[in-house]
Amino acid sequence: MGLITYAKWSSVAAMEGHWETNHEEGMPLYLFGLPDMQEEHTKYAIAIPNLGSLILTHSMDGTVTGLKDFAPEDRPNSTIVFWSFRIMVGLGMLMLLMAFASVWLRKTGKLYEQKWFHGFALIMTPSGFIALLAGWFTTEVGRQPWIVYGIMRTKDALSPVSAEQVGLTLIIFVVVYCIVFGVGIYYMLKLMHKGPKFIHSQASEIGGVGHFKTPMRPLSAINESLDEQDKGASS
Amino acid sequence: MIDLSLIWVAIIGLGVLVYVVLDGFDLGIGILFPFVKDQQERDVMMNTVAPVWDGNETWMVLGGAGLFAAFPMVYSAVLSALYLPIILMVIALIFRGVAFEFRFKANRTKHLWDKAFIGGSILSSFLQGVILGAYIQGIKIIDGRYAGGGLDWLTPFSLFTGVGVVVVYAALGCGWLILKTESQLQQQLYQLMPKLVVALLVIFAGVSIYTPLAHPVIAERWFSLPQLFYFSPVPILVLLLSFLVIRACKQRHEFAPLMYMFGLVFLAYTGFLISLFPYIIPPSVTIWDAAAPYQSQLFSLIGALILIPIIITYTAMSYWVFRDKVKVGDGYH
Repeated sequence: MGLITYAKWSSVAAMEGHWETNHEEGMPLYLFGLPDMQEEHTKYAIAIPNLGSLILTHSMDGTVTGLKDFAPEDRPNSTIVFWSFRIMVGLGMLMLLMAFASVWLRKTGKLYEQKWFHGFALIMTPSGFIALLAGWFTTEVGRQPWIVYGIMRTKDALSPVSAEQVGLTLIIFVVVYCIVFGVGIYYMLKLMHKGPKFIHSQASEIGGVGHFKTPMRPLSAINESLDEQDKGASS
Repeated sequence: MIDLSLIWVAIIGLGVLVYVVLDGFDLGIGILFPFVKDQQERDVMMNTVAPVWDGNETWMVLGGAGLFAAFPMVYSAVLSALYLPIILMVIALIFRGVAFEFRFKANRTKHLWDKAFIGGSILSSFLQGVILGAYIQGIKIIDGRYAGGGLDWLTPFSLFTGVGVVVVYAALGCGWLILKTESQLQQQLYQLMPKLVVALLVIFAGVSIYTPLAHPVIAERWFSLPQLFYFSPVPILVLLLSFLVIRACKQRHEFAPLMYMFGLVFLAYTGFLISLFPYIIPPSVTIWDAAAPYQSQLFSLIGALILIPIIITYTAMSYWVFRDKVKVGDGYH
């Protein structure tokens, strides 16, 4: 029911590469294609008939507003959001596939043996981050040029902070994030390189800060030091 | 109709006070790190706040979100005016926050995370003080928008209040550590506390002299009759509490120094509110000028009234669970 209103949004038209408002026939769902903002057309499209209408309006031939019904200056960039949306959805499908595959492999007792599955799981490691960013791009690019849909344009919502200051702080953020995430990934890889430590080698009933029964943030949950050679000296 | 603006000012004001008191002492621990060289004692200091420090920062989020909901104009204008110090403060908090994670895991690079913790704590405290000073000085608003320059916040006064907040947080941290530690480290902190209190009094005096001189409106509020009678206990109480902190340290009380420090911060904060009210952006915008529509304030108030008791409950619980002293060797490894 909630989806019905989406059928009138410019961002949805852009996500689907849907240019002409359909009236008699149903809207197809483009699996792939290349929306071209100049030619106002989605090129090389592979489509499933009527599926777009079904998803967006819950009827086989429901009307979905096309991008051409919006003035050119009111259209979000369809080329970007068409693809960012498909990357997100595609990765979501792969995640589901991995979940089902792992259940099936576990049932058949082959979860620890199937090399292809381990490789697949390894490749899927960053999929959550990429899917999340792709979804974020879809939302933020898809709502342009509006910051409040139909009421206020993004360019009218600028704060009085100068571009120099915003640029400077953006550079600082990029540098700081590179340092912090770089170090974090380095530490995590180091921990993974050391491999798992078996539970029976440590006492389980230790209380107090930094031991069990205390709050543990992600890295602190691993009760071991990172530098093998210094271990004796520090404890 | 109930004056929701006043209720919201009270909520935000309380949120900021609780933030200053709580995050004040845990930022203070980073400021005090350079005074303690022993690695094990540093571990103890950090572990006293490890379970609570990020919860403490919730209150800053509450204050900011409250402003956004109830006084969006203040949120937009003040955050624009103070853009650089606020962003730099956030950057400093990032370094300080990850130091909690990485310091206990690193050995060869531990000294780097010590530096990140010290630098992040001092810089974020200093910038909070700069923000406070710039705010007291006043922010130029025309037609509801910030109309000043990008560096208006940078003045000798704001740098001075920056140093002031560093000292206040260090003293709060010192009080907290006296409560949570023992033996040699605790003795060292008993020695340090009186010096911090004296430094703090110098700074309070500086701000109290400068502010009324620079702002006649504030001078009139404090020094005209009959207000003078109501407000004169504030400086007298400040002196009294300072004396009590020093005496409690001499007599080796464990709980009292922190409590008296809380009292001092509360008084300074009260003085700040007396100087400001009813302006929410000094010197020109009052609380009611900046208020969001009644419905917005009501809607967000309902959410706040549900959430704030929950926040208070879990905060109190985490302090209760970790109420014991932290000993050497209670570390992460």
